[in-house]
Amino acid sequence: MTSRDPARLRGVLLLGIAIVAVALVPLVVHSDYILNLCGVAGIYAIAVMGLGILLGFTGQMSLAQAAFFGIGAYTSGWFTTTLGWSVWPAMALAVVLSALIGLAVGYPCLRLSGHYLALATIGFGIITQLVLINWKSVTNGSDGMTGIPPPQIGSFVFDTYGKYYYLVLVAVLVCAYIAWRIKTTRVGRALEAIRENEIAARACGIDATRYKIVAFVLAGAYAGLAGSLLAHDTKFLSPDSYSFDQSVVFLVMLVVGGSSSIGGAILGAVLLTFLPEVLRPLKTSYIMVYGAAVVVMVIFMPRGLAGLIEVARARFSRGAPPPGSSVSVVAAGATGAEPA
Amino acid sequence: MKLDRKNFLAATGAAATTAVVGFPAIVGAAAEPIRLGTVPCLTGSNALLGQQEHEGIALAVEEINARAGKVFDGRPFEVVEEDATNDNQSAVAALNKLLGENVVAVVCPVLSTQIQAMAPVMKTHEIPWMTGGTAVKNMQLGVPGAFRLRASDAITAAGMTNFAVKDKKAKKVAILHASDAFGTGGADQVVLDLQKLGMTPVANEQYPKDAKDYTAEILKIKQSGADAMLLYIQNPSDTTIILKQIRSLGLTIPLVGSPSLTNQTVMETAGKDANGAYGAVDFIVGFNSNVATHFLTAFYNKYHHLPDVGTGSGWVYDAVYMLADIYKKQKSTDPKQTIASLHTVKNWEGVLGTFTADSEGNMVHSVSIGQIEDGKLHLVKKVSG
Amino acid sequence: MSQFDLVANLQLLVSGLAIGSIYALVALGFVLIYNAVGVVNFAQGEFVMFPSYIAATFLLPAVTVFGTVVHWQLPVIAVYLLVIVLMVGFGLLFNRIAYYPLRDRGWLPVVISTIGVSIFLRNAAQLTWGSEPLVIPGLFNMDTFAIGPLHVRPQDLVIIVVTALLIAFQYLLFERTTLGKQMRATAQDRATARLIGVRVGRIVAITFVYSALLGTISGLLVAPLFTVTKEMGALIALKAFAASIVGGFGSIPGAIIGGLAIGVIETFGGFYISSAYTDAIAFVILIAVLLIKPSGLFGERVAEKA
Repeated sequence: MTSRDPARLRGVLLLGIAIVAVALVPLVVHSDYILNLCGVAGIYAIAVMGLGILLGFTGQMSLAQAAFFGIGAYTSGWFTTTLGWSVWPAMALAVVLSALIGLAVGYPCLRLSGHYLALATIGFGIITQLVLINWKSVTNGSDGMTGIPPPQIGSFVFDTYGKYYYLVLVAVLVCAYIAWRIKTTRVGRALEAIRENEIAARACGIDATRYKIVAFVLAGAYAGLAGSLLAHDTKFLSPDSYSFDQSVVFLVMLVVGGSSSIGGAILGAVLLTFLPEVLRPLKTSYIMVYGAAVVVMVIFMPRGLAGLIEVARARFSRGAPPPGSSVSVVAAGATGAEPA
Repeated sequence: MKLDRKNFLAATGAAATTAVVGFPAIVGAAAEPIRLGTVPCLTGSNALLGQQEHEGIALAVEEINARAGKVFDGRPFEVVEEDATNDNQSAVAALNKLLGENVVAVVCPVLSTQIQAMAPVMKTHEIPWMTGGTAVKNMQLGVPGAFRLRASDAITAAGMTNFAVKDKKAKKVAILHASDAFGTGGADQVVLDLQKLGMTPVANEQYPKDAKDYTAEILKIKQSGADAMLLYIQNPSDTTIILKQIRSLGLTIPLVGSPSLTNQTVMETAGKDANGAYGAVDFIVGFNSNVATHFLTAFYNKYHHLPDVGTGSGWVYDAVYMLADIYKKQKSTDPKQTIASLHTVKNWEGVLGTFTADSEGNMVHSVSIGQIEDGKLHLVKKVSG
Repeated sequence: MSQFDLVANLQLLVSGLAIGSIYALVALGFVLIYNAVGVVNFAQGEFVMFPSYIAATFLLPAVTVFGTVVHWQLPVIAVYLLVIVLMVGFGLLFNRIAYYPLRDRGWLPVVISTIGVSIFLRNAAQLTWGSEPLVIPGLFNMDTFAIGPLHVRPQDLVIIVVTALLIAFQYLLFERTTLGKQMRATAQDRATARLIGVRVGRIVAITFVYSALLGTISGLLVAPLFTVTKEMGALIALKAFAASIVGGFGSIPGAIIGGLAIGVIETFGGFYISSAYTDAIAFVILIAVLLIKPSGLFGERVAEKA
């Protein structure tokens, strides 16, 4: 585990360089358009990482991620607008509430698997969206919630896209770290065992029930955090953003990125946030190309983008890796840097 | 110098060269295009509205650019268009992209939810925002430079409600509305207006998004004994199906709908099931000025189908022309100056009627009530807010 | 009041059964593909939408295709045949592009692939036919007729009758013909089917085609009631998927009963409880069923691999 294996050290060094590169982006890029997209991509990455823990690690098919996304967003929104709370406690509450609801949903779903689980989560998602639309006294219904304040520390307000970028970056790194710790410890291995064969896992003494619930709670918490971050970024919420279609988007991001990899979740979110923007010049045919691109990607990248990068890295590490090659691949993937 | 032939030719040559070289530079500077931003929703479930906006804007720009002076001093409009899609997040991204491209004014989407989602960004850019969304709140978000070129829901809802109660003598009013912002906002306004008349609705039915069968809602309204139904629905496809089902379930009470009921598409596709229905409209064919007549003819010649004037192509056409008129008068496109000028608009003649700006930025203060008969709208009365 | 109640309930029942039949047909399409190849086809709704557009192109006197107005109106029977032929081709193409390259890769990649195709098709429809909804005439083009105080739309009856005929046809196909037995064998166990000489690849392709035809018929039945738009398939597909699950994924009778049940529940629920929460009611009941019977009403015929 703690080997001073040069390949490991190299990996950590490259990751560090990548993170620094990503952190330098707002100093170089001043376009509001790009910075906004980066922030949104990062927020989606958090939600997708959550789905990755539930589906990628544990194999539980959930199409309700958008519902938790919405619960987090509206909780944060309501407490800051109607009750006048400061953003940070509201955000914390959003995470806790989404986690609790994850628990409430996960528990009855324990007996379900595969398509049945998928349907139950779809149903939960649809019911949640309907509640958001119809509980007008709290959510303001379809009219939407306006005037959500940005977070602030003392007199420093996160009111520009550049500043929000850093907030999101920190959140992404923290969430990625937690997910990584989960993956590489006993918990992660238990989750994986459940994914591969739940009956065998139980036979080995793994308390599948407890771990599945933990996975649901984490997925909820991650999505709740992401929703809250988005609420204070866009300062406006409307229920139509939290639909079944959005859950499908998260799923596609996860699979295209690489479903059992944390880096994959991030890459998938970034790629599929920037892809439609890159395709804008195609005018109305852009969605067609997007749909076709999804099909092509899934056919030619069996383990997602993350899998592709692993293959590239493996090829390069036979012998001394050309300096900066993996870095540029990872960095390019992480920022999805495209000129405005 | 002696004015002999050689010198003369040389001088002429020099003058000519200067002119030839200099002229494009002068003309080029004067012909600098005026970048007009637009964010219609060209894809997604409201693509029809986006398409209509696109067509209206394109027509106006084409006509203006064909004039001798174009907008003014030979400067043409250059449209910078980004697709707002159906997603609020994409709409904001589209707007950010547009703002990075030096536009001097923006013609906004007609969807109120998108306008509200874009508002935080709009607030930080003081340029003219020509909007068409009708939710009352749109003009109360603190966006400097926002103007509304259609009647707000407050006026429309009041017009519809008062027509049903006073003109159609309804005592038991039922409401059927969509679950989106337009539908619920409008329905809420109607309830308020009924309260002012000392009434409450006998039924207030909301149909779920994407529903295709309205039997339950229509039967409930029938069962409530309503003698008039107010419809607040924006999607033309939903409206068509609802009209057909109302007829097929044998409900014959008067129907009064929001502006989209009389959308050209609805009148064409619902056919005879739309006959007799009333709608609040921004615009009625036949009851119009020279501007409107010209617009209709020109539109048909270019696109070979009739425009939807109220919700789609008409108001954006007016928006572009209004900006052009102001730019021509002030000989500049300075945003702050333009906003100030827009606030002073009074009795400006457009396709939709006359525009006069109020303190909030609303420019239209009346609607008409029309009745559909054989695919055409007939004016019944005009209502002012 | 009681006479009205009876009439209202009958009205709701007829509407509920009609929309339920559509859900049942589309659910059948889901189940057949799932049985044959073990994947959920997220593009099933587009199997309904696309043929509707093609039919509209040839049924209407004037249609806008790629921006120009065309007049390709043909007689109704010719159009129906044409659409069927085209959709057979469509089914084969879909099999080849969306499923075949991924056939050994497990269900999740195929699901994503069908999602991509669904997105592609919806936008392709908009590019081809524009955003205006199209209205096509029903089979008999009659107006609502009255049976006593009951208003009946002929199209509703057509839907119910055709669905019943199709189900009967399918029963005969599966139980009495060799092709049908081969399709069932492939669905139960592909490896063994191959061993006994079934040309599995071909049967899979035929299954996709059959599923596409089910979608086509659903589209032709329902398009006169709704209008033809690019989104028309999406919600139907979701409800149909729910129906097939609650019936027991993989069970054909389950899909049919599930579809009818959802149609009736949502219509009655919308009337008696709340029209705003119609979808919620349907899903609450679905979830309740699943919690009681985790593998659906009729269980699953093909055992899920442990």
